[in-house]
This record gives sequence, C-alpha cells and structure tokens, in this order.
Amino acid sequence: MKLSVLMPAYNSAAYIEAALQSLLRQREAVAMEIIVVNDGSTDGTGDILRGMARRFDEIKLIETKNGGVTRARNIALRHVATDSDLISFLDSDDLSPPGRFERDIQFFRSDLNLDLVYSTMRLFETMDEIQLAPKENTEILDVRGIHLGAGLYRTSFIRSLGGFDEGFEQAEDTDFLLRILESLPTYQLSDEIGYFYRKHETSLTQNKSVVAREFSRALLKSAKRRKALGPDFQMPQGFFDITAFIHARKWT
Amino acid sequence: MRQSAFVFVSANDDIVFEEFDGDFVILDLQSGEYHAVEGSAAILWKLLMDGICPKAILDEFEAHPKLTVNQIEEYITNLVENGLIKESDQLAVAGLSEDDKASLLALTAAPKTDLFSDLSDLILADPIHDVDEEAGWPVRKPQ
Repeated sequence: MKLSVLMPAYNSAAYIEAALQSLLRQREAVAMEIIVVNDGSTDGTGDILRGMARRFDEIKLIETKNGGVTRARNIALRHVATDSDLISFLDSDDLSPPGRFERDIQFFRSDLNLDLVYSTMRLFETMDEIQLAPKENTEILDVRGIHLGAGLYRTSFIRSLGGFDEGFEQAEDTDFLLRILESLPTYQLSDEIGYFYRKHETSLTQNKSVVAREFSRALLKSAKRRKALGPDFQMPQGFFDITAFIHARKWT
Repeated sequence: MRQSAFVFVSANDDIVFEEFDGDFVILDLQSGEYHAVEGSAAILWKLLMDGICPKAILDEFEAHPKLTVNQIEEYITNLVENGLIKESDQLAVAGLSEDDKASLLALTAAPKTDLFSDLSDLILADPIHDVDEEAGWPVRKPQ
C-alpha cells in the first residue's frame, strides 16, 4: 500500500525536521510520500525543507505564497499521487509515533471496505530529541479529540469528500471531520496513540475567540447539510473521547 | 411571558451563541447540545438578545397576517424551558425599530430551532473548551 502524508508548513523551522524524521523512520513499513506545502514561510523553514527534499525522495516539496492552512491542505491534496492508497496528516510542529502506520495499515489490509482508522492522540510539551517522542516525565494528555492527524484514511474516501472548505480561517479540520461523519463512513476507532501533538505558545489554537466562532460556523454548516439527510439521520457515536483525560498531575 | 417587559439573557455562562449572516448557532457547553437557529427563530433570537422584551415582540403578532401570539409565545417559552434564556431583573429600555417591525410582519413560518444532541462528544472535545488560559492545557469542565 502507498501512504501519502500531507503537511502544511508555515514558519516551523524549529520543529519541521523532527516532524519529517518522525515520518521517515516509518518508511520501511510502507511506501510513503510526504507532501509538504511551504506556505510562504519567512523563517528558515524553506531552507530546511529544500535540504531535506534533496536528501529524501519521499518528500515532495511545494512552495507557495502564504495563503493560509486551509488552502495549503487543498494544494497538498491536489498533489497526492494517483496510485496513493492511504492518506494521513501531520502538522509541521507535531510528531508521528513510531510504528503508527504499520499498525493502522493492518486494519485496511483486513477490511477492504474500511474508510478510516481514528486513533488517540497524545498531547505533550517537551520533546525527546533522540526518540522524537514526548520526553519522559513531561506532562502528557491522551485524548481522542478533533485532529485530522488522528485519522488514517483511504485515499478514495478522502477524494470523495471534495477537499477542504477554504471559507474557513480555522476549524477547517472540524468541518472536514463533520463531513466525514455525515458520510457515515466505515471506520475503526483505536485507543492506541496515533499522533503526538505538541502544545506550545505559538500554536494556532491560541486565538480562542476565532476558534470558537469558526467551530460554531462548522456546526451551523453541518446542521444545514443535515436537512438533506432527513430527520432520522444520526451521526456515528463514540468517535471522540475526552474521558481519558489522564495521568497529568494538574488534572488529578 | 406575554406581559414581560424584562430583558431576557443567556441562561448561564455555558450558553454561547454566534451569528452567521442572520443565522445563529447556540451551544450548550455543559451538555454538548447545539441549536441551529434560522429564519423566524433567528429573527426572534436576535431581538431577544438585543434586549427587546417579549411583550414588545408579542404585541406585533396581535394582528399578524400569518402567525399568532400563541405561536411566538410558545417558542420563547421553549427557549426558557430548554435552559437557553432566562428573564433578567432589568427592564427593557430598547424598543422595536421600524425595520424590526417590518421584519416581524414579514414572517410566514412558525419559529423553531433544530436541536442536535448527537455531537456532544465532539463539542465537549472541542477547542472552545480545551485550552485553559491560565493552565495553558486542555482542562475538562467539571461535571
């Protein structure tokens, strides 16, 4: 099977090499292309990416003027290879756990109708530079929350959804996940950690009021679409799980 | 309700709403339910949240060509009973503008909101909750 990992990047020089290496360490398990859209970065991100693209055939680098994360995701989608079987996402400041894809691809091998596997993600603050994983004793939080990178998707399924809505400044991932749920996909939920999400001060999600508004807009758009699905339509249940808020001292 | 001259407000801090081109989304951050508010319902919601009292609104339906006072009163009562709004102790100062009156007169469909409760796991996991300003980390609301 061939895996395409989509990565929009903007001013991520401090993190992007680790993000890419966390993917490249899994290339023995699956044929992989990593589609990186450098969205007009003004720090050293472009230099790092050009260097890595020369060293690793798996990396397909696309450089654009800054147009926002949603547009960058769509550009990446358009560059997915025609023979791609599976798609996932990794943000340029996050990490992919070792063995994640080898584990989750098995679900697709055993179920030809499977549209996606949705995993738990581990939030962390400090990275182990050697392991490319959360540092031992750093605070972590495991949750099956809203993140595209938590999913591994069949490429044909993603293509059937028609891309990201570029009207969203943020919450385009929520809108996309809502459209996934509305399509009543065949899915597998996983309690295994499929994504390491780095929490840091410059995260896009810091602007709470914009996030809240965009999230609400995604809900309204979903409500409008659901009128066409009839009054008996029910979203798949149990997809997201925040009851596992765990292990970290400040929550206990 | 019919004679209330008081301002109605969001029932509590867990009830938040956003307007998009005249439509509203009302989120209950405690239960994870949300309401999609469009058409007649959206117009009424906006007037109530702008501080117009129920009496002023209901008076406009005494001689309305399409809708009755009872239909509108029932809708506002439902908003209260569903825990979305409550009567404050503040008397309404603002009144209906001529544009407001015209928009109420033009209504043809009885107001209703669409309630969705099957996304509560997503809403309770959402980024509105998940970043606490001081802790800087996701914090689950106490149940």
